[in-house]
Amino acid sequence: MFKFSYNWLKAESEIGADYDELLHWLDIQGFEIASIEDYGDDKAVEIEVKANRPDMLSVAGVLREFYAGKGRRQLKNFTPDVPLTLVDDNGVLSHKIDVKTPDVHRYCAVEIRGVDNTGETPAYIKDRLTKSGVACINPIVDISNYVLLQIGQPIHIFDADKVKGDIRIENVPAPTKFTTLASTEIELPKGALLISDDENPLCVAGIIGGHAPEVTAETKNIIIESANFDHVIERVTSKKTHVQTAASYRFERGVSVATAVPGALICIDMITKLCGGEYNKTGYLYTDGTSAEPQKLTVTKKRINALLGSELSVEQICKYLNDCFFGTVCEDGENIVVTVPDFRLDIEYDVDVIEEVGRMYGYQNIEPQPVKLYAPYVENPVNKNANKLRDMMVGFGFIEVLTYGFIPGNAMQMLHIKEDSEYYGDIKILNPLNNFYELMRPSLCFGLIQTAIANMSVGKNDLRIFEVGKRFFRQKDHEDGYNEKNVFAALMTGVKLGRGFGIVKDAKFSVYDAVSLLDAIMREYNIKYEIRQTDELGMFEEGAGGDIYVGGRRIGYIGKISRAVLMEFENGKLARDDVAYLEFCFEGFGESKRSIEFDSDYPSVTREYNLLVKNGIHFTDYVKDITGASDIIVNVSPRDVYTGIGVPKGFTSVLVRVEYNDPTRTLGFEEIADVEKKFLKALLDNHKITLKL
Amino acid sequence: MAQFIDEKRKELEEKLCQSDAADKLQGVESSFKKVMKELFAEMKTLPNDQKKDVGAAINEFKKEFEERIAAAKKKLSEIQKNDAVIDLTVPSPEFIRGKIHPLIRVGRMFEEVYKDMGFSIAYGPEIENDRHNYEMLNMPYYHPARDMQDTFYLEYPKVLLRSHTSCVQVRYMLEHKPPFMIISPGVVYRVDEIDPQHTPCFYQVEGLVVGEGINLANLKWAVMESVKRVFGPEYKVKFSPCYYPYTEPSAAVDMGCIMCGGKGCRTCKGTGWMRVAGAGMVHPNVFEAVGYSRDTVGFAFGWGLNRLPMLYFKIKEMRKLFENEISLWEQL
Repeated sequence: MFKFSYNWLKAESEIGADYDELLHWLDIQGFEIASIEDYGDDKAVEIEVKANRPDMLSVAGVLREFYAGKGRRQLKNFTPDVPLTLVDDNGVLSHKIDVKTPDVHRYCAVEIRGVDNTGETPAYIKDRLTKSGVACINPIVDISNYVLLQIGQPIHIFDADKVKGDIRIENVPAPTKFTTLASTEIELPKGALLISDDENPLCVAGIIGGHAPEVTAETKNIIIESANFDHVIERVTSKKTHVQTAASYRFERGVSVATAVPGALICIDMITKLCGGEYNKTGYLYTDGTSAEPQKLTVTKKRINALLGSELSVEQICKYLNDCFFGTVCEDGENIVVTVPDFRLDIEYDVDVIEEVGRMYGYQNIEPQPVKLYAPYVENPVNKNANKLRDMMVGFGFIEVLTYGFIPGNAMQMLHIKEDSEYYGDIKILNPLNNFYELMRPSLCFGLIQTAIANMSVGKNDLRIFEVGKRFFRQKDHEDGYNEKNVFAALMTGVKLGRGFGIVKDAKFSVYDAVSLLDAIMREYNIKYEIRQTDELGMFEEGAGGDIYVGGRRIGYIGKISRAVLMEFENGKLARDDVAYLEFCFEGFGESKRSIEFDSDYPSVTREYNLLVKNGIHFTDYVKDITGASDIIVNVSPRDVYTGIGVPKGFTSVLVRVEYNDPTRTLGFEEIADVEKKFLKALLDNHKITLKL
Repeated sequence: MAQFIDEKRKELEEKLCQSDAADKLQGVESSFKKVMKELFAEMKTLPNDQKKDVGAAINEFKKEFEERIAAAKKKLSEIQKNDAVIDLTVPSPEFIRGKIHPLIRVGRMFEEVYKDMGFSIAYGPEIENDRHNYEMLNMPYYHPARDMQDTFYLEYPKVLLRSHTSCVQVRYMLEHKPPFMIISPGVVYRVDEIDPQHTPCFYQVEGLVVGEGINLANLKWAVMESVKRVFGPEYKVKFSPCYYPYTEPSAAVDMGCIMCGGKGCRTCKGTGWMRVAGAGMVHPNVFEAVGYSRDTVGFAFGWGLNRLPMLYFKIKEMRKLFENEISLWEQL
């Protein structure tokens, strides 16, 4: 972000700056207008500056961009004519300066003696600083901030009388404590750039100053530092210390080495004019060898047009580049040698130059062209299955929800999921938002229960909801030790069929409906599955939960969520009805290819039998007694289960419907009676199941 | 004969007057048919010279009663309509259709559009490593996004929750050779405190097209065309320069704010626009990182899928997407 006073910018412009024209140009160049503060006769405009354009973090930078749009290729010279000789001799100032690190690219230091810092900062400086969001401190500090905003060069000024002995700039060898100007203690990471004298740390280079050399109203002699520090160490230090200042913001994005000396000169000029004092005509300039020479790149007309989808001529390309301060030479009508201006640190490759051509041409002028590429289409089975499940669930009247991938740190305890369970999760986020979002979910159930209860708390008690998402788990032999699977989960509770219109009493969801849902889905996929009842998971009511198996592999679980688990949730007591839940991994589910078996020409006979089944005996086991009795039994389906009045304790009454058919003939009643006898005997012999009388 | 006709007329008139129900009217109709048969039979017995006049009288009689019966039928049906015992404006609650989450609904619209354009769908893991999520995408270790303030880590700095689905593209490029056109929809995570317009996880649909001759104009078409197909041709879209480390040239896609019609409101932070996608030509450094030649060309785009359902369904707060208030989704 960069905020500036519009009047300031206009005052620096030699060609005027129409407000609407300026804002429009910035907008179409991708510098979003973040805010505008209206001061009546002036406006403070804040623009969003992306990380690649630190040159836009100054009034000069924004003006240059405006000039680019106007085709005016020469910006006014901000550097005053101040006689100064810069030498590579670190002893020319009152304090010796020792640069002991490769992270300093430029260090320009000049000295002014006898300044008067007791006066008021001129109103125009105060006005411009305030509108740019910078607080006014005292004239010298304000001037340093003014230069930063004007040309983008961070300046640091030391009170020379407070510096004890030599000034050293070095990387700290180990984490080091430092107290900032704001009296905050921070810990510098190893490698941070620290400037110190013989006794005290003075400042964290390019980031923040300390108390020791602070410039105050009483300050008489000053050393001006206009330097260039490496952007990587600046970023790392700023991030690790959580200190971001106007200077660090610019250094970490990159500041041109070319502004170090002009920054010092503007400071000398302004300070001596406004605060008096005599400056030392010889200053110190350290240079590490980082070239200030403009970079040269070659781009071709062919590649530019190929990448932009345009048909620009060499003349057009060169004009666009020249307008935004790039030099161009093209001798063969194809290869263009581009000289990159020193302030454009982001231009490294030909594609960077091509972007400049594109934006100057105008993205709005690029004519969209349909993609003409043959690429083979590859089916994504997970996507296909996820959508198929969604469509099925919509048909079943379910509503899809989306919950976060992370759940509370204590979710496993709340869900009573046992530690040895496959569905126990312990993958924690190192930096969670808070402990409510700490654990990567090993299943979707926490989110669905939470959603159900949240809806109950606003009076929505009858719910059928589902989610399709990822579950996460550890897997040593998998990439990075983690794995994840796409799962489907559904939760149902409350009334499924309300009384009225012929229904005498509300019919409510039970765990059998979860089984019915699973069955319907598996039938759609033509997948044979098995539910193995078990209390292993811990989340379900005892005896009312089980694992879902396909081809001998566990793919999920199903059951009735226990009251104790529901009560672990805030407002869990609102869940008065049964809460049925199922979840399974659908990866690997295939297309359900099957043929249609045509009905028999002969009529079927259907009979219903009310069986008295001892609890714990599963339908999937005793149904074999029935189906195994004869080939003429073509279908056996449970119609109802009942416990209560008339059914002995420990037993369940199960109503099953049996369909008899033979495709070659009409069945006789006696024949059916014989088969009946046979399976009733098998039921009795194998499972002690009798007919309920 | 005329007397006979009069008798029958009286008989039928009497019946017609009493026909206040459908079954009675049916009785009148069958009596009428019977009478007509009798009259024609009677006419056959008459001498030829009388047949003409009597025939005309019978025809007149026939016409008259056909009209009167039709009128009676019409009147009866109107009466019945008003007296209907079933109010067909009352639906029973029998059939309930479920709903797909608005985010997924809009995501699927985009998926369909891109599938029609020939894109395949690619998926990848949500738990990622720094190599796929950052390094190979031209984001070196000091890149601001790699900080713990922006990215959720499981093991710092190696294992993280993907901050974009661009890592799916990286994985895809490592395993496939161009040409290809893919989209990678999915959940991504960023350290954002939950407030009306921020959630720590959200959805993206990213696209990647790599192949000879691909250019920025193709990219502009792909994003503009998809908006047109999903939202309608009248929708305003802005395509402007932007910056992303993994694309160059880069572009931003903004859509006119549907809440305020572009005038500026809280949702669009007063700008009249909502940033919905980032895009650009894939950076040669990315191609190099996945083992392609630097001369390879291709474009990539990424829709922030939280914003689009907000625009599509006029949902004012992003966090509502994850609050799952069922009564809201029932309105879809």
